[in-house]
Amino acid sequence: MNRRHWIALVLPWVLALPGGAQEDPGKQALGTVNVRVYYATNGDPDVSKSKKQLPAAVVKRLRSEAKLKFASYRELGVDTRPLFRSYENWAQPLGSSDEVLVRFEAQTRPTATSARLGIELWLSRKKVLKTEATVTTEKPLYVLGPKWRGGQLIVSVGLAPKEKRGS
Amino acid sequence: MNTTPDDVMLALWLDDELEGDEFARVEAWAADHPEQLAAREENRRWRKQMAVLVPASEEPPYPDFFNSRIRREIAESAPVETVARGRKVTWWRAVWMPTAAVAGMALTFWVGTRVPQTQTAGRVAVTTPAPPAISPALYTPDGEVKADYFSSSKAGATVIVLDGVAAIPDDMDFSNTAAIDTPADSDLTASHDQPADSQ
Repeated sequence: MNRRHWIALVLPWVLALPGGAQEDPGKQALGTVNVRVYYATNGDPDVSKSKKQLPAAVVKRLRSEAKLKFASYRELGVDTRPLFRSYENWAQPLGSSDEVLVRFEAQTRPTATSARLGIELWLSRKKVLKTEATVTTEKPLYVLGPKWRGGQLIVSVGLAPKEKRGS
Repeated sequence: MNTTPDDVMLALWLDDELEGDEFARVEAWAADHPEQLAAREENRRWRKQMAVLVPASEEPPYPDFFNSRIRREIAESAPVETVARGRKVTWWRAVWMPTAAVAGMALTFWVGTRVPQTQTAGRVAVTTPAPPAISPALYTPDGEVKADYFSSSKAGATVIVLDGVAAIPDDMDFSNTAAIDTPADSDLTASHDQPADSQ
C-alpha cells in the first residue's frame, strides 16, 4: 500500500471526526460554578498548612456576618466546573481528596449573573445536605460545615462571572 | 372486489401514515367519500396547530422539593392577584373605599387609646399572625444534623449553618491539595489575619 492509498484511507476519517459526532445538547455549559473551601479559625491558621489568603473583599464579607466571623481564614481549595444543561455536576474542591464534594445541577435556565441550583454537600463520601439556592456572581452560598483542627470549614458555592471575549 | 379499508387502515390514512400500494388503494376509495377527505384535511389542520402551540423542546421538570416549590409559587403569585383585582375599581369603590378606610383607621386609633398597652400588644399578636416565612427546602439525611438557613444582607450571601455534622479528623491532611498562591492570585489577595491571632 503506497502513500496515496494511506491518505485516501485516513483522510475521510480525519475530516469526519469534528463534524461527524452529533453534539449532545445536554452537555451545553450554561455557566460556570466556583466551589471553594475555606478554613476559618480563631486559633492558628497555619495548622491548615495552607498559605492561600482570601481576597480582602471576601474576608470583609465573611466577617460582617456573626456566624461566619472568625479571626483568620485560609483557602484550602477551589474547583471551577461548567454547569451542564442536563447532567449532574460534581465539584471536588480539595483536589485529590474526596472529603468534601459538592454536587449541583441547574433547576432553571441561568441568566448571565444568576442561577438556581439544586445543591448537595457530601462529606466523607456521605450526603449531609441537600438544598436549592439561587446563586449569583455577587451572592454566593456559604455553608458553615464541619469542624477541623480547631477551626471550621466554610464551603462557598458561587456563579463565576462570564468571561469577556478577547480578555 | 371489496375496496373499503378497515378501521386500522383508515385511521392510518387519516394520519398520513400510509405509503405505497396501501395508500393508493385507500386514496382511490376516498375519492368517492368526500367526508373522509374532509376529515383528513381537518386532521392535518389540527396537527399543524398543535405543532405551533406545543414547543419543540421544553425544560424538563424536576421533582425535588415539590411541596416547597408549590408554596413558593403561591406566595409569589399572591401579590400579582392583588394587583389584578385592584384594576377593577368601580366609581363607588373609588369614592367610598378611601372614606371607609379613613373612618376605620380613626376608629381603630380611638379604640387603641381606650385599651391598656399590655392588652393591646397581646391582641395584636393574636389577631394579626405573621404570614409563614417561606424558607428554602433543606434536607439533611442524617437525623443528627440540623441545617439553619438565612439570607445575610451584611455578607451579601445565602448562609446555611450545619449543626451536628461530624468533625473531620485532625489527622486528615489537605496540605497536598490546598490551593497554592500563584503570582496572579497574590495580586488579588492580602493578609487579613488579626494581629492577636497571628501570633
